[in-house]
Amino acid sequence: MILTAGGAAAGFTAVTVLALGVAAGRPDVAVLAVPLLVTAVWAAAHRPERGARVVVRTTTGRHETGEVTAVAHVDVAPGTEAVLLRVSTQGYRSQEALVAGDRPREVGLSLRTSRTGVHRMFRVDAMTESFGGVLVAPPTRTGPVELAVHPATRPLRELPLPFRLAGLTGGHTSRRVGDGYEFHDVHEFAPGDRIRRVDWRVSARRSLDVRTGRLGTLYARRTFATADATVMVVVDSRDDVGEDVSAWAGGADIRMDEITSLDLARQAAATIARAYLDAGDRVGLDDLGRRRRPVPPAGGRHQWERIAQRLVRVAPEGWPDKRRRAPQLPSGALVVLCSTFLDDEASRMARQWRALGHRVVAVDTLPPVRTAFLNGFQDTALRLVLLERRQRLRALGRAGVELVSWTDHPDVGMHVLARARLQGARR
Amino acid sequence: MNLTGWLTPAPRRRPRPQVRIDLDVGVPAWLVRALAGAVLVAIVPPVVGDWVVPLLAAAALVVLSHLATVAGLTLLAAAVVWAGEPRLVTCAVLVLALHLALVTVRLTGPLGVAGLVDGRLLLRTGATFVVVQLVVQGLVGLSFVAMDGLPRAPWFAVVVLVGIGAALMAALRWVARHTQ
Repeated sequence: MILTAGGAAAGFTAVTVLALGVAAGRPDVAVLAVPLLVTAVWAAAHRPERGARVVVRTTTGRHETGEVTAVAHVDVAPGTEAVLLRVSTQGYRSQEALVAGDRPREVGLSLRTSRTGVHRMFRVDAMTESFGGVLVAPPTRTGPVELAVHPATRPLRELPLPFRLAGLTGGHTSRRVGDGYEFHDVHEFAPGDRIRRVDWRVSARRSLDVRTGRLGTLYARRTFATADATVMVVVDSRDDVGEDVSAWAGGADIRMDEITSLDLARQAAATIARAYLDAGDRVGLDDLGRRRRPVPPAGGRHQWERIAQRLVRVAPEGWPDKRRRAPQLPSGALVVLCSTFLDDEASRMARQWRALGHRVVAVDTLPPVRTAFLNGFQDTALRLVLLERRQRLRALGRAGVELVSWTDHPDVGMHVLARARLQGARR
Repeated sequence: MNLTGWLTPAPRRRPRPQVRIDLDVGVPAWLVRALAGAVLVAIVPPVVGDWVVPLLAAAALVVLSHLATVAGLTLLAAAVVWAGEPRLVTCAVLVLALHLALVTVRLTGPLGVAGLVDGRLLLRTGATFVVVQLVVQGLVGLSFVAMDGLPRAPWFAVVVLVGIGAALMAALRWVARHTQ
């Protein structure tokens, strides 16, 4: 423990006043020093043997956009009167608190965030204080801890389907004949048809020999087969731009209470993947910003967990090489590309996939921009960038890529795409 | 050229959001300081017969919440008492005010204005304050009872000063030996 400068000054003053009072025969002066003396003596006699030990733990459960919590476990030594805690996180104002140190305790920490992804949060600096704050222990630092903040998904009622449903079973009706519910036609019974498919009424009407009373040919009812869709969600992690355009070049920190394009991309990808998986379809995930193995399409709850874990760790890394050709995707898959389309790379990939016969939905994840802190040159540059982007999106539309803006009622946009009748659509 | 541009308010960035420490009961440090300052202003001027110095002292406590401030206030109180006639009420109130200032500085000194003081710590400190204050006020009463009986010979003062100095040195050495 260290004697603080304030404690030393207070002790020296108390002794001086006491001495003067006693020397001058003025007990009324001397007694003024008693509170300070009592504090100093008590602090010296009951000083803690060591400083507090602080451990920061994340709370159990899944952290989603909004409230993020953690717990600081403060273990104190006997003699500790109080522990000064300072909790800080990059992008936030720090908070201080002086908590009682009479027993070990757990202190809740929380913050509100609009951001998703993996962040380092809750660095805790702690300083142990003896009685009266006269003696203090050297400050200790704990954390920050890594926290994965998952995007919150939103419900989507209807979803667009690929041009061709390649699966053998699922929740959608394909154009193929097979097991299903929707009526296709009636045809002559053939090897491979099931007996329960025989339509006895039609067979009696068409092939009953009235003289012999026997049936000549049997007829079976055929139905459209059900099938699942294969969807590849592709996230463009090369850009992570916020609403404040002055921070795009890296001159200022991106605020933690504002969403960025990558947050929107994560939210869009998670929402779309969840909706398709809930409908029984097969969903995969790829990242345009990284050359790593994509999450192959599959269905079920485990696939959702796999996609959620991969999505939360999607982040811009360095300056990725330009791709010569679009990543290879399963045949007939619906491609959902989440990007800001601030450069040509993502739109070039989308056009290549469309040319290969995929149905491509481009999800625009650029947040509404704020230009309050731009000077004239920056404002002009932004206008040019946005003009190029608008032309890029128009070119995508002309190439047959469908566009949805994730900041402008995406559920309506997806509903419209689901209802759209496209040329060349063969399920 | 826009000559009125300087009249237009420049856009300001919103303050960053804040991390929260979730205490069961957390009292803002500024509230503790303000309450202590108000109490000082309420109790000290009637007994010292002056408003300016107590106001300045309370302001110093609110703005510069540090143990050195309490040390300065103690010297100031000693000067006030020294300059006037010994009065029990004055002495008792000043001792109370100094102790209150000490407790306030202890609770809020390490914190910024927006810092939080744990409610549990407030209760414990308040209980300690009451106990110590009872003892100290008893000492104040005793000192006034015994005031006429104290010897005023210079040799006695020298002995007391030397004794206090030696005790202080021993205490400081003990603290230094046990704290580094």
